[in-house]
Formats: sequence, C-alpha cells, structure tokens
Amino acid sequence: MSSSRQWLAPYLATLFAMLALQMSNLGFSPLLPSIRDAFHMNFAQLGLFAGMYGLLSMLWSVPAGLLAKQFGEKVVLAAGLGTVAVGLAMLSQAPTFATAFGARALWLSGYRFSFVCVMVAVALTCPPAVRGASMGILGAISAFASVIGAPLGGVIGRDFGWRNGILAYAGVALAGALVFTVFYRNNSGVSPARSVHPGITASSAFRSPLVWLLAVLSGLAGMGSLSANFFVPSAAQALFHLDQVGASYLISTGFTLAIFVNLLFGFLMDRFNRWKVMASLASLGILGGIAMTSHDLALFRVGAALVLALGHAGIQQSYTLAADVLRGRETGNVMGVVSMVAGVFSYLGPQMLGLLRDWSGGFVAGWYFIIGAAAVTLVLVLALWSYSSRRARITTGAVLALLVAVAPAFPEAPPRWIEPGKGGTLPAETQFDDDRGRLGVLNASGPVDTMGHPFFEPLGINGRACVTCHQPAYAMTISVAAIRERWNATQGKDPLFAAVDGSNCPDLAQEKESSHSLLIDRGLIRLAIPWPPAKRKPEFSIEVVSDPTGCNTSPTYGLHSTHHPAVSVFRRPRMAANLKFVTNPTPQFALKLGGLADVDPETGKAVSMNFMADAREPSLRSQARNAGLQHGESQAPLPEATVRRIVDFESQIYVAQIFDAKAGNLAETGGPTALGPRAMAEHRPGVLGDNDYDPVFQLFDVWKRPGQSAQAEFRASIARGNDIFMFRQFWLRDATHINSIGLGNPLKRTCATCHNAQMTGQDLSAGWVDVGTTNYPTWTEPPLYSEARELPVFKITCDQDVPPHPYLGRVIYTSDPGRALISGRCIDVGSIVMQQFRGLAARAPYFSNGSMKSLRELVDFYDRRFDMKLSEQEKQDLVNFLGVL
Amino acid sequence: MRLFLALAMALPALAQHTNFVACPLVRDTKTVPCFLAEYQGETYFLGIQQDITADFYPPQLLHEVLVEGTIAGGPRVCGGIPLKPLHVSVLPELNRACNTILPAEPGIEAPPAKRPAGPSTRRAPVSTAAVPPAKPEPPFLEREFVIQYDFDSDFLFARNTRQLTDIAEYARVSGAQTIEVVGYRGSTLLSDGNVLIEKADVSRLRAERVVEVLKGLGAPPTAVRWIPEATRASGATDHESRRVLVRVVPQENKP
Repeated sequence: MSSSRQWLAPYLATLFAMLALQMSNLGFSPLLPSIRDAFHMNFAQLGLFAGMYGLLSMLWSVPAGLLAKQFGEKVVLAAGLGTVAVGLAMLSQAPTFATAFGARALWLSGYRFSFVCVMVAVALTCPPAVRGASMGILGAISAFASVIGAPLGGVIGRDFGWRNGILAYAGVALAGALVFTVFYRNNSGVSPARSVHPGITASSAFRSPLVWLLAVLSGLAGMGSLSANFFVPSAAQALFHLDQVGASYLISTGFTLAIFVNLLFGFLMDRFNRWKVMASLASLGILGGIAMTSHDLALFRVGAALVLALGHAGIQQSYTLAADVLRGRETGNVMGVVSMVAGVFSYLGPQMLGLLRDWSGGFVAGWYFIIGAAAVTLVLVLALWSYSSRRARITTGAVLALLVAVAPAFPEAPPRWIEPGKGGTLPAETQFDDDRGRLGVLNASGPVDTMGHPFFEPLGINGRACVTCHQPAYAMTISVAAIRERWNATQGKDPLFAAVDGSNCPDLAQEKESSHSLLIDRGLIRLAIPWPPAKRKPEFSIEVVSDPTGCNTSPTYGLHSTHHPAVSVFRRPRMAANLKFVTNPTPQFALKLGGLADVDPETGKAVSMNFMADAREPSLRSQARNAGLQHGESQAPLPEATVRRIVDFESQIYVAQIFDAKAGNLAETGGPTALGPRAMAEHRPGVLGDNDYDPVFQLFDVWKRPGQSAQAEFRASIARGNDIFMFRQFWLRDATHINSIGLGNPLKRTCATCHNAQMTGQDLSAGWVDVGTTNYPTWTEPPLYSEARELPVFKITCDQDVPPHPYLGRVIYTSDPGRALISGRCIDVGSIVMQQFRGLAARAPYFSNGSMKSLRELVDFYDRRFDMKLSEQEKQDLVNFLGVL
Repeated sequence: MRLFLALAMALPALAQHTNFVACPLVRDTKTVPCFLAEYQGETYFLGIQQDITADFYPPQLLHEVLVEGTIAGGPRVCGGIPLKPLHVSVLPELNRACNTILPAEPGIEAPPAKRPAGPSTRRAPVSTAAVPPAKPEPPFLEREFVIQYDFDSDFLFARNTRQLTDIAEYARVSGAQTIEVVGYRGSTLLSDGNVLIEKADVSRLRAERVVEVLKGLGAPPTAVRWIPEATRASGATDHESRRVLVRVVPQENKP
C-alpha cells in the first residue's frame, strides 16, 4: 500500500468499530417498548433509561478524550467496545429495573469511551481535504448500523424475546473490538495543537470558545434525532397501531435515509461553505419535525425519517467542523468536549420528550420540541456563520424573523383539564395517562379547534361548557380525582362547582367544601327531577325519609316546593363518547316496557332510550338543549346550529383504553380486536354479543398463549377475565327488567346476558335494570343506620291497583328511584340504564351513584349481589379485563 | 287479583286438567335449570330455562305461579310429571316464601335446550323484536287475531309484540278499513274448586295498551272496547279468556 493510502486500513477498521458500536446504540430502540413493559416503567423512567445516554456522555466524554490523549485511541476504543459487550450481556439478564439500569449505565460508559476514540481516530487518520466526506461515510456507517441493528433486535425480540435481542448486540460489540484491535494503526504521527480556523488560536480545547460553540451545535443538531429515536417506536405503536416489527422498520427507514444523507452532506461539506450546508440541514430538520405532527402515517414516516437522518448527519458534520479547530494531541480533548456537550443535549432531549409525553398525555408536544431544537440549531449555525460574513448576518436576521412569525402557529398539546373558552386544538388522536395506563381519544372527523366551539365554550351564566363535565382525559366524563384537583386548584371557583347542580343544594353556603361533598367525594351532579312527572300520573307516592343534603326538604328546591316541586337525585355524568353505540335505535319494541320504545318527536323514529340514567331525553339534540338550560344555566334555548355542532362533536369522538402499564399496547396489530378507540370507531353498532361466536368484546384467545414474561401473564389474566365475563355462570336473580320480562327468576346465565351489546357492554335493548344498586336492602349505601349517610333516602309506596315492584313489593326504600321518576311506574323504581364499559380506568368511581371507588369494589358488589362466589383469582382477572376496555 | 271460594260446579270436567296456584321450584341441572311446582304432594314439570324466543316463559321465585295444564303421559321430566298443554302465569303479588332452589342431583337432567345456560350458540336472532314481520299474502280476508296474557297482566311480552307487528303489517298491506280491538277479563277454575278472577280493569288496560301499540305501528284501531265482566271459567281452556281480540277488515276491493 502506498503511503498516500496508508490511512485507508485504519479508517476502515474504525468504520467497522463504529458499525459494531452503533448497531446496539441506535438499533435497540424497537426493543424499548418491551423493556419498558418488562420493568413497568412510566414514561419519565423511560426517558431516564434512554436519556442516560446523554448523562453518561457528559460524565465520560472529557475523561475519554484525556485517556485517548494519554494512552492512544486504539487501546481505549478496544476496551470501550469490550465494556459495551459486557453491559449488554448484563442487561439481557437483568431481573429488575435497578439492575437493568446499572447494565445500561455500563454499556453506555463503554460506548462513550469508544465513540470519542472513533472520532479521534478519524480526525487523526484522514486527510483534511476529505474530512467532510470521511465523517459523512462514518455517519453513513453509523446509520447503516441502525438499519441492520433495528430489524435485528426487532425480529429477535419478536421471536425470541427482547433479552435475546440485546444479547445478540453484545456479540456484535465483541466482534467489533477484535477487528479494530487487529487492523487499526495510527499513521498520523503527533503534531502540536494548531487551529485551521483563521483568527482563532488556542492551545487547549477547553479554552477555545469555538470548540464549545461547536459542541453546543453538535448537541442541538442531534437532539431531535436521538430523542425521536427513542420515542418514535412507542408513538408508532400508540398512534398508528404498528407492532414491534413495524415500528422497527420505521426506525430503519430513517437510518437508511441517514446513510445517503450522511454521504451527501459529507460531500457537500467538502465542496461548499460548511455553514450554509449546516443551515440547510437544520432547515430540513424543521420540516421533518412538522411532518411528524401529522396524523397521516405516510407523512409521519417521512417526517420521522427526515428527523432521524438529518440529525444523524448533523452530529457527524459537527465533528467535521470540530476536527478543524485544533489538531494533533488536542484532538482527543476537542472530541471529548464536543461529545460531552452533545451528551448534555442528548440527555435533555429524551428527558424532555418523556416529560412532555407524561404531561400532555400525547406525543405531539414532543414533536414540537424537536421542531424547536432544529430551529435553535439553525439560529446557532447562522450566528457562527455571521462572524465571518455580512451577508450571513442579513440572512440570520431574516430567518429569525421568519421563525418568530411562524412560532405561534404551532398548536399546543391539549391539557388534561380543558377549561371552557380557553381555545386550543384537540388532536385527531391523543392519549391521556390514567390509573392503569393510557386512555386513547380519537376524533374520527379530525382535529377539533375548540376555540368558539360550543362544546367547549360557556353556554350560560355559570361559565360551564359541555366539556366541564365531559373531559376527554377522563373518558368524556369526569373522575373524582380530577374533581378534587379542580377544587384544590381553584378553591371551588371552577364552574364545575356551580351552585345549581355542582353543590349538594343551591341554598347551601357555596364557599364551603362540605356543600359540594357529593361532587367532590363521589363525582355526583344534582338532578332536580320535576315531581310529579308531566306526562303520566304516578303509580306511587314518595316521601323523604332521610335528606343529608337538605335539598329534598328545602322549601325552595324540595319535594314540597310551592313553585318547582322536584326530587333531587345525584348521579354521575355519563360518557359523551362512543355514542353511535349508545344511541343506536332500539327495535320498535322495548322489551322492558312491554310496548313501543319512545319516539324522537323530531324524526318520528324509535330511539335507543339508552344514553341517560333514566332515559328521559329521546335524543342527543334534546339532551344538549336541556343540558344548556339546566346544567349550563343558559338564559335562552341554544340555537339549532349550536346544538348541531355539539351533537356532531359528540357523535364522532371515541374513547377506550389504549395502553396498559402491564399489558402494554392494547391496540397492537394481531391483538384483541375490540380494544382501543379506533376499534370503537370502526365497529358496527347494534350487534348482539351474548353468544359464543361473536362475543361482546370479541375473543382474547391471542392473549391466552403461555408466556414467561410478566406481560404475557397479565394478558392471560385479561383473557381469563373476558371468559369469566362471557361464560362464568351464576344465578342471576331478582333483577327487574331482566328476570321479569319472561326469562324467569332465577336465570342461570352470565354477565354477558345483560351486558350484551358489542363493544360497550350495555344492554342492546333499552337498558334500565334494577340490579339493586339504589334500592334497599341490596343498595350500595351502608346497610345499617349511619350518621355518615351521604345520599337521600326515599320511601316509595305503590298504589294497590297497579303491579308492584316484582321483587320488593309495594313499599320500597331507595336512594334513587331512577326510571320511575320519569315513567311514574312502580315496577321501575330503582331501575337505572346501564353504562358503557369503556375507558373505565380513566373515570372512577362507578355506578350511577358513584358508590364504587375502584373496579375491585365493583366486582365485589356483583359477587355479593348475585352470590357468584368468585375466587380471588377470578376477581383479579375480571378487574384486569375491565381495566383494559 | 281476587280469589273467590266457589262451589265445585264442574269438577267432572277436570279429570285431565290440573289447575293450581303454587310456589315454583327451581332445580339446577348440569345444563339449564328446570322449573317445577308441587301440588297435593305431587311434583309437576313446568319447563326449562330458554330465552324469549321460546314458547315457555319460566315462572319467578318470590312469586306464586298459576299453573293451567293437562297431565301428559310419559316419563317424568326433571323429576316432575309433564303437563301438556301448559300455561303458566306469574302472579303479580310478592310471596317471599317462594324461594326454593334445589341443587343438581345425579340422574335428574333437563331436556335438551335450544340455548345453553351461557351465551347463545345459535347463529340466529335471539330477540323476536329484531325480526321483521312476515309478509302477508293475498287474498286479504277479514281476520281475527288473539293476544293472550298472563293472569292479571296487561304486559306485552316479546311473543305478543311479535303478533302485534304481524297484525299491523296485515292491516297495512290489506288496506284495513276496520281495526277493532276488544279487551277481555278472564277467570280460572282451579282443581280445588276455587275460582280465580282477574282484576276488574284488566280488560281496559289490555285494550288500551294494544291500541297504543297499533297506533305506534301505523295501524290505528277504528274501534276499541273492553268487556268488564269476567269470562266464565270452565277449568279446561281458561287461559284463553285472558285475551285481546283484534279484528282486521280489509278494504272491500283489495285483492
């Protein structure tokens, strides 16, 4: 080999070392969702696990440069790769999060020493005239490592588990160390430090401002790429329902592009003004980030690929610029400084994305963060360029002005609590953390601009909007936890706590928390049902036996009010989502009525009688009108256009649990088909599921496969829960409108007998049932006298000439007469329309009276009520099953 | 419901008929439960749990059941003597003494059921309400339809609504010029000689509810009346007296 080509052999050995190093570093991200699930990490922990990359680069970069200077890059690089192999092997066997965390730290420590030495090796062995290209090739090799590394890990992870995928990476690192040791020779000699940048002289990298600025540039340029690399797989699975392999191909697409982008920009750096090249690179990065905010998978793919590839190339070419600052022995320290500062940013990047994800419940905020990082990169490049060029200064000013102008156009992620009239966009798809994982929210009609939208704007004098009680983050209702937070945050001033129905009674002292106890403690809204009903002479008389709120005996608001006699009952707001199922018209005959279903006076068609606790409103339109007047205290009826927009919005929004902390992605391809909001949107309403061939929530057989992992075990529990729901028989008895409609009492059946509507678990026919939640003695309230009783108690005495309540007779004590307040029928006392089973994890407590604080309490109630004798395991299986719906 | 003690005027005619009021018994089996009733020391088999598409609607615990049947030959079913034909009515008033569930016993098996105790295995509609009415075929003649009821009840079960849909469809297709509704009040002669007479206003309630439904189905009756007097009980076909009769007279020139 001639002396002019002597650099080629060590350069190729360095490239191979880089290949071995980066296959695991950049390629392992498709395994991250499995690792996260295995150790039950939340997104902040995931951010730390991934972002440790940057943390350790801060710690080890400068020592790595110093060691390279002291012992030579060959020794340090080989030892570093060996350490990488050991760390990966340890991670593959880690039993706990703590040990996994430690193994990852060892792996990344070795990585950092190796990485700095790779840069030193390239800087010292390659001629300056081809430095851009050589760095570009190095970047391309690095990207290529990811291209083959991501599918390698993804495929092995899918077929043999993530642990074996990690072990395979360890083998690759070991091979890299061996090859580098054998073939690398440093032919550069040792020269004194000197700068190739005119006007900048320094003998130490640590005292060179340009070195530090380039280090910041390197960090910024790569921050988006490194951050996206860790979060794109999770986002792809959550937003686009890609499985592990699909997500890994998305990553490998980005790194495939990075091969060419690295080569292209390496070539351009050697041919053109390097600042211009870097500026164009950052500009393209901004466009890539914008594309990632799209809800179109193809556009998201393009955006993610651009961000990954351009960021990758940006890092590499920052080292090209850095290699020119000081030469010789100081090269190690230059690379150490650049690597350290880059590490700061690569630590902050994933951390920020993790925090933004946990804060916003979605990924979009993170994508905007990436856009912002690219924009700052552009500004910094232009700033550095402007030191040497007047034209550059003008360009910088213009770009800055442009960035300032377009910044407000970027929408913010929706907050967990949407306040009326605050504006903002509700994305087409978004997610919110809840007790068991994440709730998925899908706007089938696309993003919703909430500014000026009547669902989100105050409707009347109390400042409430529909969204006040129907929050997307809480499955389009509200949880007690959220209500408590609002009380604490606003000291009870939030419109939610409006006196009209957000307090136990309007005539109580509204500033006192105790006056809102039923809302704060049980999530209940007061409903003043006029008594007697307007349309029918009641078959019973009603007396107030106990009145903890004082509202039923109030001279103004009570049962004997001279102006507006009413019965105050307290009920949970219902989910204003998945409504195509809930409003699906019942057949003309309602089995429980023994006659025809109610008819919508506006359309003349039979209605579902299934979306309010007492079926008092025939349609979403009439519900919106009355809610505006009563809950919103609108001073005039809502205009028809307003009603239409409210109903249109309600009719296109779908919610369901989409991610479970233990079961993982619920909407993955090949998983159970009824899970996730998209399944809700795509499924046909009005299908009876009380059968063994097309059941209520479809089949969970795919999760019955035996597995060793905690995730597989949990999924098997969910599948068993579905089987219990569908097939576990018990004596279903004394439930009015089930046993009493010709089916017999008792009925040897299963949960699915009553909860038979596909996808929601409601009753497909008009669904009010007296399951015993509100009527004594089975009610959910304390069985014995209690001073702490929260709900009113009414005594119902049925007339002698009408059919009595089938299981309680003619005298009934109840905390909520339910449907009977509307129908006036004795047989309906205590009957409540059953609710959807979806998004349960986001909206505790349960039952119309908010009596069950958890899913376990809910299951326990049914176990007692029907003497099911569920085993502890069966109860847990049911809870796990309900939690993922 | 009012119970009258009466002289046994027609006892000879009741040789095969067995009419009584008793608490139902529920017998679990390895498949679906059986419904039984005891009368004068003997156990009678009433039917098994199915769904609302079945002919037999089971009785209810916490309620007495009126059994109107004829002793059929053949072996015992589920431990009870089979009755055929059989009509059972759940009596409306509560009786907490009616609360017996017997466990499954070896050798006592329920007859085959269309539907198991768990979810349905049939790929067919399990709700009559979801099935469109039968298409009436000419010639369209005057027809009478009879809707039968449980004792003291005006409730329209799924089997009744099925009939009403067919009636409305017949009236519509035949271009009915007359739809007359007549409500009746029944009575039953029990095997012990007592007579059960339905409550006084039940014929009106039945007629009014049918009128309301037919109106809703687009076939408003042209005439409605009810017979307040109870039909005289015979002990043989007394269940037929608890009825509404709908008479549909098509247009004269309708083919």
